[in-house]
Amino acid sequence: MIASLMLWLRYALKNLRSGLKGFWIFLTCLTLGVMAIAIVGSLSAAIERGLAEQGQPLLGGDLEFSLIHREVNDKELAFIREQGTMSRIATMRAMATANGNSTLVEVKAVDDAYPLYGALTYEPGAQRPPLNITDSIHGVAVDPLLLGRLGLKQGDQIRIGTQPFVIKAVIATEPDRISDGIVLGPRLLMSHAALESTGLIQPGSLITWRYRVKLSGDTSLSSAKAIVEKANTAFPESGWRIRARDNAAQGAERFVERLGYFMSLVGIAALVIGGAGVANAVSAFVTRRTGTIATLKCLGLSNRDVVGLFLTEIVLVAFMGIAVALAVGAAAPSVAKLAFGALLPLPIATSVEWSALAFAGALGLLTTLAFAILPLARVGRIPGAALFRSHLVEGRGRRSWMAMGFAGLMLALATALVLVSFDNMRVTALYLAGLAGAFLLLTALAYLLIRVVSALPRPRNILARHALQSLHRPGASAVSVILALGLGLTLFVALALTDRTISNELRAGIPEKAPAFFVLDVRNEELSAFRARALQEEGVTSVNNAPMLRGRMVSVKGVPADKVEVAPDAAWALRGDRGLTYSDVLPEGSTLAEGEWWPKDYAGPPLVSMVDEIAEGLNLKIGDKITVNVLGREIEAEVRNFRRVNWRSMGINFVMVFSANTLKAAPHSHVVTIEMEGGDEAKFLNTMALAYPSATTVRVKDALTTVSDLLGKMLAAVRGANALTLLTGVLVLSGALAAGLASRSYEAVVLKTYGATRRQLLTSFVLEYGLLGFVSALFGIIVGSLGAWYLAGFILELPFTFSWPIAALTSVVAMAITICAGLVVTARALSVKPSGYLRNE
Amino acid sequence: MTQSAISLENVHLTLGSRAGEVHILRGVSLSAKAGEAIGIVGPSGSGKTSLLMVIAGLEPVTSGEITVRGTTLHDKSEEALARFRRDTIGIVFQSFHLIPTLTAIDNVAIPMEFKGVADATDRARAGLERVGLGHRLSHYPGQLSGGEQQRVAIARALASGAKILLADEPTGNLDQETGQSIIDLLFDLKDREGATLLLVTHDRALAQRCGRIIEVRDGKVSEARHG
Repeated sequence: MIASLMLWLRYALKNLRSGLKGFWIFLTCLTLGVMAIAIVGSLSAAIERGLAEQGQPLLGGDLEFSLIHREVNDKELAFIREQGTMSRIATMRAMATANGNSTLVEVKAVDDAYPLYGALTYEPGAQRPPLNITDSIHGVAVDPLLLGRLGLKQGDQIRIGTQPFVIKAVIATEPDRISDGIVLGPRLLMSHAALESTGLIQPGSLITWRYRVKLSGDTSLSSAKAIVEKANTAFPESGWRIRARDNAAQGAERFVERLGYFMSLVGIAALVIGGAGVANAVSAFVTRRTGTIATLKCLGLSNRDVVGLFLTEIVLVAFMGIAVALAVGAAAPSVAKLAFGALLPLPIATSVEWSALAFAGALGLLTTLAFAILPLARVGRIPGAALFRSHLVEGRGRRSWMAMGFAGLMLALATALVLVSFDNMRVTALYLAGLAGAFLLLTALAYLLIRVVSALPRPRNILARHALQSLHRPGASAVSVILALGLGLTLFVALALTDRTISNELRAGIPEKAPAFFVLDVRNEELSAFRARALQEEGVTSVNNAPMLRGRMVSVKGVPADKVEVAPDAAWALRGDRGLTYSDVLPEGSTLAEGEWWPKDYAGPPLVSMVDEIAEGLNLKIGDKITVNVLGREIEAEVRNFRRVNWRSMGINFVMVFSANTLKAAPHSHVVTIEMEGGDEAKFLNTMALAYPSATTVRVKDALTTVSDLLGKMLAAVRGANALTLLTGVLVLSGALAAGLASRSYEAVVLKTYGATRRQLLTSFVLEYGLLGFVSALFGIIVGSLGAWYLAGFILELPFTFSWPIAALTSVVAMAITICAGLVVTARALSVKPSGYLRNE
Repeated sequence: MTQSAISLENVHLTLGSRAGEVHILRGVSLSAKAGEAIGIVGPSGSGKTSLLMVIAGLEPVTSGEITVRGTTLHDKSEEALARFRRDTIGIVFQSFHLIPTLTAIDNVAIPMEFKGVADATDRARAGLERVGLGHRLSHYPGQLSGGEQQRVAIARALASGAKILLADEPTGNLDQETGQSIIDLLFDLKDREGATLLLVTHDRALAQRCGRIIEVRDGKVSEARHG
């Protein structure tokens, strides 16, 4: 066997010495598909590795203990200090005002130990130390974005809460920025003393207290994780969130992982389409080599040897394509870091990501083998006797079951490889099944079209007749063209419609009477004045408010929160502090799903209303009891009813609403929504920020812009990958058309000889290619819409919207692509001069 | 009694086509002695080429028996027939049928390499030198003239020690002078190797060079008289 392999290899290499003619489309299809997967895999692995390697500076320590709303108590503080050097940080959102303008800022108060890892750097010219107090005014360091927004420069004053501050430095790099998750405003750094002076720290204020630790002894990750365990055991009631450095940027990591996942799935589609190109190319290769194959058989080579020899040649070419793709994939992290490193908020490791490359390479090889073996099995049907005939005719023969089995095995291996390589096995399996289904459906559709066309009555118009006959004559490329373009278009439509669904949701998700602002931390005692003042402002039509406290669920039906069996989509309700409110009436935007609302002025034992989907996830029934910890006090409440909430109304709503008597006496603030019609939003923001400096105003439009920006970046990346699948589709269809070029040219010559004009032939070709493009588009629109509908309804849980403009655009694009590619490829057939061609014949 | 190099007993070859069955060979019986040269003549479509194909094991017969150098062909699998051709048969075609991507020496060596001959390249070189192409070893077919290509094909047919040489119009694509030199070479090598030659040709004069001529007409063979 080894001797045979060596012999195949030797002769395959000899054959390839004469060049790669006829292999370019094969190479391009394969290289593009593998390259897409290798780049995506390498980049996401490099970012994940970067996040892991930079865990300490990104988290700002080996460990972080965080609490919303309260600081640690003495016992907890002693425990944290025991572990090593500690740094205490507070983060909150607040309004910054200067020159009569206000904007939301992310305030971060730090101590002298900050940062424990990495370096905080300032732009040149910073006053040092920037955060100290000079002439009774605290210094702050700000993000350059803030200077632009409020028209400030270093040295100017700015007001936060009730106090003025002087900008002493502009931040250049903040090492732990990414660990804070989504930020809605520019950063503002100050000292703890400065934060206290703002008057922003009030009961119920949304402040996150973070205690970072640089471990003094063993600084290994396992040691850090052991301390997490120990802390959770020693302080089960704390409700703190503890992160070790491997969890520094969970949000970013999840984002990169998901984006990488989606793009890999699109890349796999490109590879499958490329596989169709591989099959076409191998088929054309076998046709081209029919003479050689028959000669080898006459010389006494067995079928096994002939197939082995040609398969080796194809695998060698595939290796070349895969090697190029992997080289680009391997270089991707370094290139990305060089080109975009300064712009990306994520650390990119520049190592070679071997496992990502191995995955892409293996997938490329398996795809090649799976798609190459069936056309290669035709070798068995080419008889040596063909050489004795004037035309090399391929014999009829049964399908090679062995080749089909081999192709099936390769596809099964590729599927298994993809399934085990991604976490989300169910979605991946569904996607692969969809891809396989689309592939089979398209093939069936193409054959059906050929059958239907061949059974149609012959059109009277000669050009139409010729165009239709071209679709079903022997060696026609209809199946390959429909397959390649149809798959590309299906993905294009699915993605374009999903894009549309998400964009619509972002736009239409803002109800007509959506609030213009959410105002947080409006103090209880200033609420009436705040409401009155707001209603006086131009354009304000309605002001709604709800009391807001923070509290944590500590037990459900007597079972401690960490032991409760909870459905995955409801688990978040048990994690850390959640917003709580109280009310005598059913809040707006919700309806009663089960149970009864309590009477106004209810004065009995505590009652609570739960959102129905969370209650279901927690397996709660009416009458069950839950316990929450609010400001250190545990309150047991009976579940009185379940509410169904329309979160899209963008009103104020909470998972848990308590009877008013339960929480009214606890210190708390209010969250207020402001609805406006007309009026100047910027002016309103500035006026209210000046009048109520401790309240934080979030402009709904700004928050939605932040979210849609993030989604937009993700969609842009996926769109890029999708463009690649279309490009591969176009390549495959060009290859399919090119394969039939010789017979096209011959046919054109004969028709010209009998008087057909160039114009007539052109019209006939346009009709033929236009029909192919139209059928592909029709399939793409129907199957792509079904895919988008499924994605919207079952994965994104959004209302699906069909778009006629996208459907029309797809049809036009598809027909334009096929007609252009067809005409480019067959231009030579049209321009062939009959005289020369026939003389050669 | 010497054993026949080739023996055909009542061979029939019928091929199916859309228009119905076509009887190509009808009860052909033929025997060729080792070292004999037989010219096969007959009009186009009479079955000459098919006769070569059944002898090479490239076309299975409908009935009858073929024995070549002691090997009966009718009970052999496709793979066994491939081995039989490799070991026994050398074929020279009208259109040469060299492999365009391989050099002259590789074209001659390839059947021997797959046969497992250790010194295939040396033997290929010797074979090409014998046909006067020692200076064209690393030329590709496209770089050779028609006559040179046919010499390579003859070297390939004989290099692995084939004792049965089947030639199908070997000079059909060559001018008269080149054709003549090719035929001289073919007969010279046949004599040196002691091979049996079956030569299909339309050229009566060329057939005359063979010791024996048979005529194929309507799928039947008959001995033709010399001269």
